[in-house]
Amino acid sequence: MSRSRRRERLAPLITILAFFALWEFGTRLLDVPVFILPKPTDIVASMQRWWSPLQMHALHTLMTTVAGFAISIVLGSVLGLVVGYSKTAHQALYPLLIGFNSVPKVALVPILIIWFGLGTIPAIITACLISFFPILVNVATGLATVPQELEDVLRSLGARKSELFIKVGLPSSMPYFFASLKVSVTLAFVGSIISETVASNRGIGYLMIAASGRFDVPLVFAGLFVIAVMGILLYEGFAFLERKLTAWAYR
Amino acid sequence: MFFMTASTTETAGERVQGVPLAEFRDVSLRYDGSSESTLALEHLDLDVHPGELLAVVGMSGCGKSSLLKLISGLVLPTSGSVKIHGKSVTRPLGIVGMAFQKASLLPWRTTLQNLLLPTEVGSARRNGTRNGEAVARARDLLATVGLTEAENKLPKELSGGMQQRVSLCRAVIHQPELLLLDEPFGALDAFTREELWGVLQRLREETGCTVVLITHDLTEAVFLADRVAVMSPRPGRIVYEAAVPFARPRHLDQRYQTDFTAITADLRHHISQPQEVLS
Ligand SMILES: Nc1ncnc2c1ncn2[C@@H]1O[C@H](COP(=O)(O)OP(=O)(O)OP(=O)(O)O)[C@@H](O)[C@H]1O
Ligand SMILES: [Mg+2]
Repeated sequence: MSRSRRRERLAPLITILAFFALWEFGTRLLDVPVFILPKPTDIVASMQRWWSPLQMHALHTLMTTVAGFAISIVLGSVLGLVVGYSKTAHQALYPLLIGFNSVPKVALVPILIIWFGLGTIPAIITACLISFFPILVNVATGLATVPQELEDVLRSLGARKSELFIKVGLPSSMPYFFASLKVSVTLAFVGSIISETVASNRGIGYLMIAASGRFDVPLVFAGLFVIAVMGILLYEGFAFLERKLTAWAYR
Repeated sequence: MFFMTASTTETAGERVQGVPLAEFRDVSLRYDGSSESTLALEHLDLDVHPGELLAVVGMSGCGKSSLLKLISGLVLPTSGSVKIHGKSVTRPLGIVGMAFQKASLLPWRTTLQNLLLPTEVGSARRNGTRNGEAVARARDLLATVGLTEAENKLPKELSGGMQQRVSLCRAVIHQPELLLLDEPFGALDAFTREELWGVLQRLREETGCTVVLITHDLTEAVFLADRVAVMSPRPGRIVYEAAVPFARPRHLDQRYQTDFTAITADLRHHISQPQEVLS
């Protein structure tokens, strides 16, 4: 590996370490009380102490996120394909979809609770609602990127719209689709945590609310740590998938 | 009224006389935009004869691309008639192949797969072109244009000139009667362009198809064509035609000979005088 490549790999690690070192020494130096801002070492200690409930709740949040995201992939791609394929559908649906997307999803949680009660189902639905829109927009955009020349080449041969769609539109939209997944999955994760914080008795969001009720600030931060790490893993997982499946799109 | 120089047209040596492959009669074409409408073509008369290479030159925006869209059936004339084999064109007939300035290959397909694309859609698919035949033909074409090595490469691994060769091959893979080229060499450097002139000559000998070539480059037009038609500025009409009597295949050195440059100068003269011809 060349020197510059190695430096590229190490750079994020170094910034993360520096961030925590600064935090640790800053809080020690200024003698910040634990219930305001715990030191990273306090947080790690709390994580060790509460490891098994943390694990349980984190896993629950992960399942909720995956379930919501799976529905969101289906919903987002189907709507994206419809909107990208048909101009009429685009004109008919877009204003409604944009309006819907601008509603803060946390405002929907109370309604979802009225309909479905406390627990996992509102969290799954929130995760789905918050994350399908970027998928929709990307798939629709991808479909619209078919070059005019190529469309002419194929239409002059008597190609049907459906043939253009299958041979050109659908594959062209794949890079857009996969690019949207890595963004959307973190949104879905945020969605399920929001809903858990408001109304659930399980999940990492619930754990944090419960901990803050007991003024166990280190545990609240431990929850945040777990969330951050899971967020990074989900993002990187889908970024990896993207690189593998749409390698042709990159130089 | 301007009269076409009949004597010049008659000298087009080896042309097969008789029914034109494509004919335009008093064609006009109007595009209706959202705010205004554009009259792209007006009173356009033109014949394309079987087996010839017709070059069409004219100022930017005069309606050259529109002319090709009319032949291919992608747009229909506002008035007048466009006929192929004596029948009015009402929809894409599937007898044309097209290539443009941009190669527009599919980035996820290899060279060979890109070549085969036209055989997978439309009339070719419905008529059941056998895949084995198509692949064999694609390999022959790649050999003709010197791309045998690139068969399994992706477009991003090919140079601009190579991509354009693939695009030309894709335009003829389904054995079209009529090859429509819209400034296919416009984006290439001078040397690559000269190379591709040779490639086009070879493709033409090999497939025998009729070609309509749109270009901004008069030397290119005269070098490749049997006949050159000049269009007026918008709304476009054919205002002049010149036959190019040189035997084929032609050699690059011919470009500098006086009989060659006389034709390009003559054409240039007719492009720069859009208004007089009306009086
Ligand atoms: N789809 C369209 N809608 C509206 N106007 C159009 C459309 N296509 C072409 N035009 C207009 O028609 C005229 C002729 O266009 P065309 O593309 O045929 O010209 P061209 O001779 O090919 O130009 P260039 O040499 O720059 O490629 C132009 O004024 C253009 O703006
Ligand atoms: Mg054009």
